[in-house]
Amino acid sequence: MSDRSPVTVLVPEPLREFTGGREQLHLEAHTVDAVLEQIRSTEPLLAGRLFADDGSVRGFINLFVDGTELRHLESTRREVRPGSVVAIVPSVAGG
Amino acid sequence: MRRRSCELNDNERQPVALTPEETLRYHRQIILPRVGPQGQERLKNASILLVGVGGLGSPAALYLAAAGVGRLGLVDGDVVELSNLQRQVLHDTPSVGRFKTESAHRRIARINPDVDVQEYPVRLTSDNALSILEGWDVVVDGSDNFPTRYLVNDACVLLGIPFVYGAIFRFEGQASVFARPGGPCYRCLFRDPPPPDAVPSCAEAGVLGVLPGLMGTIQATEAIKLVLEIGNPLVGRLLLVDTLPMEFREVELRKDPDCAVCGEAPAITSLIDYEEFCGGATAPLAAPLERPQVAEIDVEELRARLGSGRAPLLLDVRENHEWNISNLGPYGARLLPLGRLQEILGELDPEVDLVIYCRTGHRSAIAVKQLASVGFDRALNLRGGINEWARRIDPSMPTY
Repeated sequence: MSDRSPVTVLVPEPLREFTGGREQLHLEAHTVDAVLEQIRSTEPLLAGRLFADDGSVRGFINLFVDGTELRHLESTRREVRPGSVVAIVPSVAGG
Repeated sequence: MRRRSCELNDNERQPVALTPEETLRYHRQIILPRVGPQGQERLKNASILLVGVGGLGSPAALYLAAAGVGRLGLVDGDVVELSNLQRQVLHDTPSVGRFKTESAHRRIARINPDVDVQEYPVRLTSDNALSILEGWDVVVDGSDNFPTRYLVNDACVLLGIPFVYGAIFRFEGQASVFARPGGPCYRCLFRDPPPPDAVPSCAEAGVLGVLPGLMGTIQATEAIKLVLEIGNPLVGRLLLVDTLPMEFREVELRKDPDCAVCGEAPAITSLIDYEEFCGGATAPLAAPLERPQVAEIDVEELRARLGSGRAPLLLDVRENHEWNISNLGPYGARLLPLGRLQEILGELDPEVDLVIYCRTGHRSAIAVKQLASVGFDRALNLRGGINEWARRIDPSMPTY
């Protein structure tokens, strides 16, 4: 589809074992929901870590789209633009 | 629970002025336009509590002491171990075996004998947290486990004390300031703890020694800014540091109106059992992440089979760097990281006996389940993983 934008998903260190060591995923999508759907379909191991059975993001992980938390994205900002970055932020406890 | 104002406690204590020697000691800081003698006096009259004096707490304590913070509290129930010294720069080789609080106190006294140090050589618990934390101006969280992190968060929210968060994993770090009035707390960012064992500790996963140095220094910077009320603190912002590409990113955090402890109708109004919260309460959430029930083989049986004429094909589903620590290559094992398993399924013969192993048997159980779902009925999980092999079969092999 012509209106799809290249999007980078940043995979943090603790989750790279579920992407075969890849630090970034490069997808093409026009909405945030489409990005998440592509992660579900193309990265089932990673998706198993990110999403609960009901599809919600697990409570010990947070997703940020261009620096804004996914759940705070307004409906008008659900579209991604070329170069959008989705950062996966997992809880880590090391000190 | 009484909620206290977040205002620093200067007005509750008699301010103490700088001595001539202190004016000399802190000269480089006093001449800073946004610090000045008033700011330095503010530091002298401030109190900062460090929860954990390990990797993060070490640089934080060193810099806060050197900067002239008048009172430092140190909470840590651990003793110094040799494996700490690669990153916990507050401690030294002669301190091995001593309480970290004692070791830290001695070091701080040598750097700045004017600092009033209060030692708490205990693990922070729901029973002692409020009495230990109450009265401190700022808390620096350098703990190393999820129960303590949620405990520090809830106690600080309940007491109205801002706390500087820092956490590390391998090459990456996070930092923020939580529990400031109007700002988010740790629960706003992470509603639930991960299932037990889902996130490896530094002891299991490793950590770059300078990473806590970097993040702990950022925490000290934020603590000083909070005391001096200067700059733009990391309130409502989460700093993400990745040392390998050396990238600093920032994401926006918002206060969650539904937060269990700082939200509009908080469910948590007193401290809870955090071990249970981080262990039992996540069971439904954890279910898909739990180790699947799959057919297993123990290390003795594997050794016997490897020495017989029906040796199975060994698949190691760990990462390359783990293979370099220990492996069963001499028995023909093949490295195949879990994330790449799907890619090479076509190369495997479903009729061949397979034994899958990882570090402890968790990832390999996931692999066996995946293989079983596509017709590999002869795959077994090595119970206890390669670490168990090292313990019971080959003690010369390192464990990690």
